[in-house]
Amino acid sequence: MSGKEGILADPISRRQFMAYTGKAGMAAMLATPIVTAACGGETASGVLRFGHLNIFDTPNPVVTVSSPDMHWLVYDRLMEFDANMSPALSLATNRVLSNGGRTVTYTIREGVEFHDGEALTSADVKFSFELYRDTKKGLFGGFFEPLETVEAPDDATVVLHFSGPPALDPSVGAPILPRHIWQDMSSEEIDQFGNDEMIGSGPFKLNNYAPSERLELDRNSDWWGWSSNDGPKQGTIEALIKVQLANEETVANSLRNNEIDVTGELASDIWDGLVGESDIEAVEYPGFLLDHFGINVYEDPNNPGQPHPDSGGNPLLLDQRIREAMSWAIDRQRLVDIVLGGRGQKGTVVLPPGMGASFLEIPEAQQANGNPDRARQILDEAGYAVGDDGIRVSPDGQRLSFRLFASSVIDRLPQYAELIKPMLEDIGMEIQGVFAEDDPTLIQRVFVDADWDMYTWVWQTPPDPTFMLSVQSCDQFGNLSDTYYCDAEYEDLFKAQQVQGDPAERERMVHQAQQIFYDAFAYCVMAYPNRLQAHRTDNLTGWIFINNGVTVNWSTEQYLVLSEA
Amino acid sequence: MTAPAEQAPPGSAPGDAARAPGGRRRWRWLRSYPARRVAQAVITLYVVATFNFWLFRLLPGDPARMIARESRLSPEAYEQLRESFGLNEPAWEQYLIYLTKIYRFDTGISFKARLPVIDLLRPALYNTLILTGSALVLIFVFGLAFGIAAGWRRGTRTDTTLTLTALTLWSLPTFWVGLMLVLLFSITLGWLPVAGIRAVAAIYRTPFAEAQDVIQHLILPAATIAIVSVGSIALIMRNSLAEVADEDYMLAARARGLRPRTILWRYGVRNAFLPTFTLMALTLGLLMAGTIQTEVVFSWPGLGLLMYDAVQTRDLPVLEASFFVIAAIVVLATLLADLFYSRLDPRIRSS
Repeated sequence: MSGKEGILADPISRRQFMAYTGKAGMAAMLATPIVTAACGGETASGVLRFGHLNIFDTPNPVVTVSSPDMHWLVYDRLMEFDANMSPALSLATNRVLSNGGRTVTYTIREGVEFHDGEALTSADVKFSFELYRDTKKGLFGGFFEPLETVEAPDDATVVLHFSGPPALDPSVGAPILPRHIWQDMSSEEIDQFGNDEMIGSGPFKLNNYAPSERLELDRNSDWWGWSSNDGPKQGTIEALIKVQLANEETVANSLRNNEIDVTGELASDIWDGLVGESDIEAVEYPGFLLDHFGINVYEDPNNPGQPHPDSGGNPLLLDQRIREAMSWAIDRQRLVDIVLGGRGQKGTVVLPPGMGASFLEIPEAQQANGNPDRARQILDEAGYAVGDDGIRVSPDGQRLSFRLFASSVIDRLPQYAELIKPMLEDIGMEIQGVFAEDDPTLIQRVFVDADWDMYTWVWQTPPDPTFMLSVQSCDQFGNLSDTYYCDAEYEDLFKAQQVQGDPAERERMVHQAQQIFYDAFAYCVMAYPNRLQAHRTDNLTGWIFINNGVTVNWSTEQYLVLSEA
Repeated sequence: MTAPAEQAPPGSAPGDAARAPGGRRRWRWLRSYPARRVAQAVITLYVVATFNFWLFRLLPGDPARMIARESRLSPEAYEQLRESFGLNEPAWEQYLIYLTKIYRFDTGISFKARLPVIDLLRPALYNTLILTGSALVLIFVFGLAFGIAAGWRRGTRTDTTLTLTALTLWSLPTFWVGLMLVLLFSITLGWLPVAGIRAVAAIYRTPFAEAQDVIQHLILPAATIAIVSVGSIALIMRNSLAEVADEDYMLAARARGLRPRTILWRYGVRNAFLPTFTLMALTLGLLMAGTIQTEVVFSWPGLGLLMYDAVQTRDLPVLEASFFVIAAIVVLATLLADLFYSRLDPRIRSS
């Protein structure tokens, strides 16, 4: 090799080469801070910058299935959830119940205009509610099922007639659409309508929407709420920009680097890293979240005790004693400590404790939890003897062998699965997996094909019990049901509470439904995670406590009270 | 190759044109190397498009079910949704509609955003091209420099050091490099932004200010791609230069008393550049397809991030369109490289 050097002399000597490299390196090192300093950049003040993993699905409120808060900032509603998550008047100034709670009469504000200058009247409300009721397309459509007719006797009055007194008035959710824009669209046209101008009448107007990148809303200075007689909203922010960031680590780093003001929900390890950082407040709230594993109990209605022909699950799971043993085998405190870093509560019933009075408290002594001996005893008594290989078998020789799936989309779900696997193996079950699958695959497997035994999942519920109770309704087979549980008594209670106007009586029904489902052991609710978020304290002031997080899906209050620091 | 009948001069029998000497000459270009390569490219694109269509339909998970996920969608509304997006048609009919749409450059409506896919695709493609373009410049500048330095000083300590460095960089995981750069330059030093393409809520008084902001956001992701890709170019350049150094014409040049720098650039690099050039075109393709990791780490709103999002929601129109665009760019880059290469090296055309 050195001979080659002899033939071809160096065009550049080593010393020269090192000198060039050193100079280039120095230049690069110097250029970086110069570029940075030169464009430290001017940013607008009084802007709420929100970093989130998923900003939005679509500006079309009829078909949207996520992020109601962004729609609620652009569109007005008759009612809203206040900071205590209680329904409160909003665009409506008065609400009167009659006919045993079946008829609701609203008086709406006068002089309200859409962002394009057209007047908002009761005709727009009537049109919107009928559209939601008839199309039942998106998030809001589902709440209109009990609505029979809508009348608009004059410009400021709307009368809703329900089949029974509604437990949750759909007026708290449904954005009021401008009839003049939506009225001529067919159902198919609505499905494909991008609504990229997003004309509403709410406190913010759409400035720019770049899907998967950012949503920019500007303050609507003409909004009635900024100067309302019955308590104006005090916020002064000029704009709200929600940016989509691809992972939680980036969200946390962007907050540290003052690129955003507030984060979405964070995992506990990432949130822990933000605690104590300067100008950052990391906050922890009770959430409306429910981490559980669902068990396939799809039974043939014509042959009780036998699996449904469409079920791909292990028929042994139809035996409630096996499911009860599973529940006893799970040490939920360990799951909370390890997976949630202690930031959550042990799970019991199907509603999370953030729900307040609707939540059924199961006394500690009655909780089927963390007692493997009890689990073994139940299985022994039921005749599931331990086989030669340590796996229990049924009296007719079927092994207690089950497949465990987990959604791979949220990190903590496979973590739970990995922890519960040895707990169940410890009582003599064989657990195949953990099979982590992405959501579309898992949704197809569980909700459509019913081809699973157990799977870990998380539900985020609205602040009203109906949605979460509906998941276990017999009507939801092939749609929301993730157990194929169907019980006549539960079904009656679920339906009756939906139209029960008396809050105390409704609470009793909701509690009873939770108890029935808890005793069926089709769900093993592992934990109720707390909502972990963080925000900067140097740019904006006025952060308030709202159940389920500093910015939440079910109340827009935070956005309306923030001001420039 | 026969000419189509409608091309024949009036009065002549079909096929006459092909037999006539003038006609044969007229259609001879169809056999030429460029024409054959273009035809191959079109066929490749058709195969890719077909593959895309069936591949995404083989993915488990019903797109309409994903749309309906959070809502209490009634069975009628669910059916209506499938109808609106043409998911109820037989697969072969969907396939024909899909091909017609490609032919018309109609990308359809996004299942998730309900906006025309082209409105999502255009800015994403633009952003990805900015990122990959910048990275490509860095890769070639540094890759060629390192390759030439190492190849020319073959066997020396410089060569060993540079080769080892190239191999090390090449084997680093992209996301790890990205995270380390963020930790150092954004979190610790606070010099550069963590994520995105523009500062959130930025005010630009001049277009120059906007360009500066974008450049600032571009540095780390482009550097990440460059760091992990520079090794391959450097090694190829090093090896081909080292091979060329053994050629007789190099010895002859030296014997003629030419200056070493002239020998290096006029005889060495020029000849060693051909294999590197081919790799350039391939690298562009690989970069286009491989930016997903970088875009995810830096939340760079490009094609990679768009696809990442679309896979999660089974947004088929977005997936199909973005994969097709990437395939088209790769095919086009390879085609251009081949055509250009055949100019540089005439042996290719005759082979």
